[in-house]
Amino acid sequence: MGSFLVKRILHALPTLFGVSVIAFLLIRLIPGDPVLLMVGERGASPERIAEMRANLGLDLPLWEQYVRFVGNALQGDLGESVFSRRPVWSEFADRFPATLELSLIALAWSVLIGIPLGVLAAIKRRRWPDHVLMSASLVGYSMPIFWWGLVLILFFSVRLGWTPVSGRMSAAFDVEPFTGFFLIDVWIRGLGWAGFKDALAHLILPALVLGTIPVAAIARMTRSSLLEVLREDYVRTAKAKGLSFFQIVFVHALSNALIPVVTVIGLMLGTLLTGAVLTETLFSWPGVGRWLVTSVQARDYPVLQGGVLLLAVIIVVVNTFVDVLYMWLNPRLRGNLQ
Amino acid sequence: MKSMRKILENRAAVVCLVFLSAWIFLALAAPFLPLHPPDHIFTGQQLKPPAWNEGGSWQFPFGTDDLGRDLLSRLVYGSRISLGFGFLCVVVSVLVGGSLGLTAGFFGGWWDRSVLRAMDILMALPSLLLAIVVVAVLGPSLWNALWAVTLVALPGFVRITRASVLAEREKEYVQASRAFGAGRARQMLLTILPNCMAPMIVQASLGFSDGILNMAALGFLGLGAQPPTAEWGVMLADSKAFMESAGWLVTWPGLCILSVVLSFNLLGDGLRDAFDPKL
Repeated sequence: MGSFLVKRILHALPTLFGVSVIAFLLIRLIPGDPVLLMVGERGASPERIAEMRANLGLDLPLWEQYVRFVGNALQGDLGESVFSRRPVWSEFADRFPATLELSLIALAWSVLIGIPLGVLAAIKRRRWPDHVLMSASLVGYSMPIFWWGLVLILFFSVRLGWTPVSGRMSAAFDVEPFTGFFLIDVWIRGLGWAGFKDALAHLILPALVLGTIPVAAIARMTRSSLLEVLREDYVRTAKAKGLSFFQIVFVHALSNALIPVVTVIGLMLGTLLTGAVLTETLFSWPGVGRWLVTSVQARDYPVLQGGVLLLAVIIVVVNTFVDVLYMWLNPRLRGNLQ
Repeated sequence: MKSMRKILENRAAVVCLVFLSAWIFLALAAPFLPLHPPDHIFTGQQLKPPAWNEGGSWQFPFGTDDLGRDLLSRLVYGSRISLGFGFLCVVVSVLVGGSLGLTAGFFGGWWDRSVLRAMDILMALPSLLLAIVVVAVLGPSLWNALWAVTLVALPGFVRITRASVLAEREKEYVQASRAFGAGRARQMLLTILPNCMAPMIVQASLGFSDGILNMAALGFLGLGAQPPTAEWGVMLADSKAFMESAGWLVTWPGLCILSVVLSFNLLGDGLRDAFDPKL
């Protein structure tokens, strides 16, 4: 694994540094006094204002503020929310599983649907299934998902009454989070099928909406990658050997065609985690995205700063991991890992 | 010229071009068209359905919103914001991103490395999150949303320009111009840049669609254009409360966003095919 792995991780460090600077400067760049802005019209006692100012460390020289910010962050201390007065870290930890569950389910369905559709379009190239699928995927790719969500709510929740309009669970069920994934927690907490169905009914529309752009992107990517591989010499060799069309596509070509697709899917997880901002706002899904949007509107700067930093770190780590995975999956590059 | 002809042979791209031209005409001509003022409140005319529905009238062809404002007029005026700010976003990112990419690719060295590194950092944050950070610093408003969306678009333009400059830089015609004594500025702007236009034009078309989509998303979240501005994203956010009784308030702004974004994407695809036949 040696040198490449080390190099790739070293490459991520300056990015992490840059991201931490962005999160750090967020509060400092705001025109005006951030503490007074946060207090806003609600007002606060002079003691509280002094306390907030000290908590943020705004009275120190800038470089010292940054060192303190990073030092604290490394120990898991990201300050506290101005409104709930709870540590930002535990607010994040409460909400992140909801976002992760939503993103993973969205990713799962878009992979399960997107790859077969892409393969279908590629093997029916320039015929009607290809045209229909690629047009549909372009529409999906251009979709304003906040509108798409409204349309689905209007149809499935309001007209048909099949799914609830918002939230993660009905009030009748009280799920004490264990894994934080409600689809699993309902079993652990003994709510059985009824609870599972309720959690699934709440999840299904948001996941559908969140997965719309990924499914389109994955289908297009799979198609073009497979078409490229089908032009390779070894595919011609396989044809010459007399292998059947399906053997060639599914045994020889697809495994190679999927390597770049896997990379795109990996990189998508980061996009999904924040694409969730729109979906979560629309469906009142109690996740990180909605939390960040509310914190902008409420000028809860510590929450914003900590939330952005945590999300960015997660995304940089995931992307680094995906890069290494790509190297490992691609036999031509695998040598670099040794 | 060859690529011009190829574009015109691409039916989808031509349809999009015509469709977008119609939108641009509407946007420019809006003040001269026989429309109600977009912010005028017709009291007693709240939530009127479109003319072809029961209870609708041709006074308000697309119906009215919850305050009694004419929806058709708001949609047309909304296009001024979406297309206008989309255009500004593309212009600024072409100018800034293009110059960064051009100089980075041409000079190389530490400048190249710093530009690339800065873009890496911007790209580490997913687009909407980065836009939200910018809006959080500057405060929610239409213009601040524009800066946010432009910053998000920047890395794409920088990378595409830099990549094509790198591909052109060592070609013979550039060496020839150097041998003839062309200065750096002349080589960059007159020799190399015109040959990098194709990917930049494609990127501009795609940047248009991203810019419009992100502006609308920020408006929808309450972090972009503010009510009562007639902006498609804001109109959608407002429609949420009335979607059960007034579905048309949801349908039309969304279709406007989708059709414009889709057209720019199709146009971008068509341009790419025309410029780069091997894809």
